[in-house]
Amino acid sequence: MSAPTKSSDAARDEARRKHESLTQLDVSRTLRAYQREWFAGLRENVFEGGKPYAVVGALVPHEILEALDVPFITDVWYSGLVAARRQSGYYSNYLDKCGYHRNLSRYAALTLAVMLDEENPDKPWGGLPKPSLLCTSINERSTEVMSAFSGAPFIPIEQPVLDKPTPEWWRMSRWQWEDLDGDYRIDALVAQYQDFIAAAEKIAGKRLDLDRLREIMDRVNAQEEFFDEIRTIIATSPKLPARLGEVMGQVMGIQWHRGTQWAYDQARAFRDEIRHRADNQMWACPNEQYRLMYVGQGLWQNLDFFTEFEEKYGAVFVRSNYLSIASDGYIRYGARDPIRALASRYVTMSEQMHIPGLGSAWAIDEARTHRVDGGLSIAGWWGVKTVNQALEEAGIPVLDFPVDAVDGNTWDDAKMRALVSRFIEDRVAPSKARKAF
Amino acid sequence: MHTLKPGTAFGKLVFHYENRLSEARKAHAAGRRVVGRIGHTVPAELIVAAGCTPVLIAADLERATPVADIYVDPELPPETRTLFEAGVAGDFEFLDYLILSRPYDKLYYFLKEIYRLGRAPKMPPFMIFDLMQSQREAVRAYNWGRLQALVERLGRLASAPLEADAIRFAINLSNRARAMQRQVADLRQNGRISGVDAMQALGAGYFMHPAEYAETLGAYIADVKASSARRPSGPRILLATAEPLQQLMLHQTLEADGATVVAEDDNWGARAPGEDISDESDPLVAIFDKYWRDVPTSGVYPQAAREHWLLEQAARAEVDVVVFYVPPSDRLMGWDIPRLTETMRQKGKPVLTLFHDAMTEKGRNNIRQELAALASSLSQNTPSTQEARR
Ligand code: SF4
Ligand code: SF4
Repeated sequence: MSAPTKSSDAARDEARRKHESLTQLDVSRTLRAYQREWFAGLRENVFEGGKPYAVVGALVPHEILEALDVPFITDVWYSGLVAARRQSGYYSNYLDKCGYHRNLSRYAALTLAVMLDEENPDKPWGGLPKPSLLCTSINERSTEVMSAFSGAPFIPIEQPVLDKPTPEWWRMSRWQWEDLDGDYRIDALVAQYQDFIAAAEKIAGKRLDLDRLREIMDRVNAQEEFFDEIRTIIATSPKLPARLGEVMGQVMGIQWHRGTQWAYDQARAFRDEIRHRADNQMWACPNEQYRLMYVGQGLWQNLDFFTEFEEKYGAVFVRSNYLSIASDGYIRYGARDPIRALASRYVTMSEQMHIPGLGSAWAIDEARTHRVDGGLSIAGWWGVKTVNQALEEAGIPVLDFPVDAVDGNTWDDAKMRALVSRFIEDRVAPSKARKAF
Repeated sequence: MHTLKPGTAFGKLVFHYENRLSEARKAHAAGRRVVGRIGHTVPAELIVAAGCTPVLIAADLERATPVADIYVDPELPPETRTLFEAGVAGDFEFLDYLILSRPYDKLYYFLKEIYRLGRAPKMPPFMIFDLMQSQREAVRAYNWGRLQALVERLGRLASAPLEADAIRFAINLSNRARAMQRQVADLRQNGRISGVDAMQALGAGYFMHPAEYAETLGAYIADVKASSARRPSGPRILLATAEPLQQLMLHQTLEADGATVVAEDDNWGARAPGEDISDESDPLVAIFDKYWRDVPTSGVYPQAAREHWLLEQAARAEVDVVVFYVPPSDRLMGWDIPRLTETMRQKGKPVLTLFHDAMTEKGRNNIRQELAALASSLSQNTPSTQEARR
């Protein structure tokens, strides 16, 4: 194992240049500018000013921290930064060196690795100061390690089992969520959120204002409605108006700041730009032949990978979980009690994409509405097999892509490209030809 | 150390340990209602109180899983795959009802779906008893609500609400078995029972009627006390595991060259009895406390509660080495291993962490090699033999 070297800096620059040249959307540039600005604020307040901050999981109620003005970073998002700098291999190895075996999930734990590795200064943002509060799923056992290391209290979130699964959940989630989720399950999260709120109030030095929280909830709903429109435009336009890597980057870039005025404005600008491109037939790949969907976690270590099949096959990736879950999973109307609405938002969050039946019904519906010819599915998350099986049974060929979503060690560019090429030639093209016939 | 012959009390325990559904099938054939439980956190006492025969449904890890391989992801525990296969194949058809516990939530989802698709028509009706294992006040109300729902469901199965007296009676039955199981633990510490024998004597309790089990176990204990069997001279092992120890393979491997497993942090072994269920309070409250607070599942939180028993046992002089069994299927315990290893080191307890899979021959060979290396380093460090140290 070697520390990152000059040559990896060069590789990073090269990747950045290539990424720049593939950028089609103006909002990609404004997003980057905002991220720089936001990060400057974080540096000033937290890194230099010593203001307490929280490290949280993706599925905990960020809205509460937002309402309390507690700065926070999300573990998987920071892991994504590590991956984007092509350092996931290095930090994954670092966890090995600390004695954490290979089969433990590295997805969120790269953040921990950056914190533990006190010697190597080559880190996203130069590393992370010790946080003051931790909140993740109770199954994210690595957070206990982070808590012991940093001394920050850990509020775990234990999800109640979905005892009455409803396959077509997205048809109920906006208004009928008390029935969909079960009031007792919502209660279970509300009780745990009280602990989280108490801990967050302590470091914020003020009480949670429910009116402010309600406003934030409303803004999140409005933001996700823009995403919903974007999804509809992408699904129904003759060809793809924006590349998936850019769409995913945009969606997640906004989602991590959901509830803020900036996020709302950015989502609207994003919607406007997509609509403009569609209205003016500005297609990502004018020679579009095959529409592929992408099932599962993001391929964050190589978002530009999606564009590589445009030239050779006219194959575009039109759909990922990220945009679609934003509208189907997040919107909760009727937030008289904003904490209940929040609990409903998160009580099955992300699991509805994994749970057999729920995940497959959704994937099939998405494939049909997006007129998809084939799917690429990243291995390594539970539930993927039933989703793939269901898609295949519905006549949609699926490539089971054998790579960890963020682990740079498992990425072999030539091999990956060959796999997808063969899949398009051997399965997608014949299947599409059959259907046309 | 397999000294007790068939026909003895031990022979009967072994029979039920090996023929896990035999008693339940007999009850079914005799027209009694049988309720399966997947996982140890489903209160058997409530099933007994409902007039039904409880039976633990355990995975047969050696079973081929052609159907499960289509649907169930490889990163899920091997147990999930084999139990799914059993459900689809119709193994549970004779059950009147099946209750899964929280650690089997994924299995629950997969079974729900395969049934919905019409591809597992022989599944009996089933539910999940979702008792959260973290010991925080925040989950109390939810857990209590889940227990109420279970009691109500069993009442409907019995066609009459569960009576407090019936629950109390069932509690007394199971406490009697617990008392006997604790005696087994003592005899192990004294080197009178091998790990392999103890696992069978303890595990049989999940498949027999509690009254018959307590009686048989009592007879076995008397036989052991009367015998002159002695422990081999290898190291005495305290075992902590990332996978439930529902098979003997790991124990057989560890004990093959003279070591003895004296306790394991698992429901299948030394932690089978735990504390008695209180007979002083409301019986339902007593069951609630027992199954929420006194279980060795991986979901227990905080860490201190999860590791309390292990650390207490590791401090005993009768333990020569702590073995962590962390097979490739582990997704959780590995996060504790470096810290636990350090804790043991500070306490002067040798540690052996096994990352191999005892279900494969290669894994078993590696385990034997690593244990042998450790045993020889242990005996070099101490002038006298292990036996003399007792
Ligand atoms: S795989 Fe599932 S749980 Fe993990 S980050 Fe993606 S959506 Fe969330
Ligand atoms: S394949 Fe043709 S149309 Fe598509 S991106 Fe490449 S050059 Fe443009």
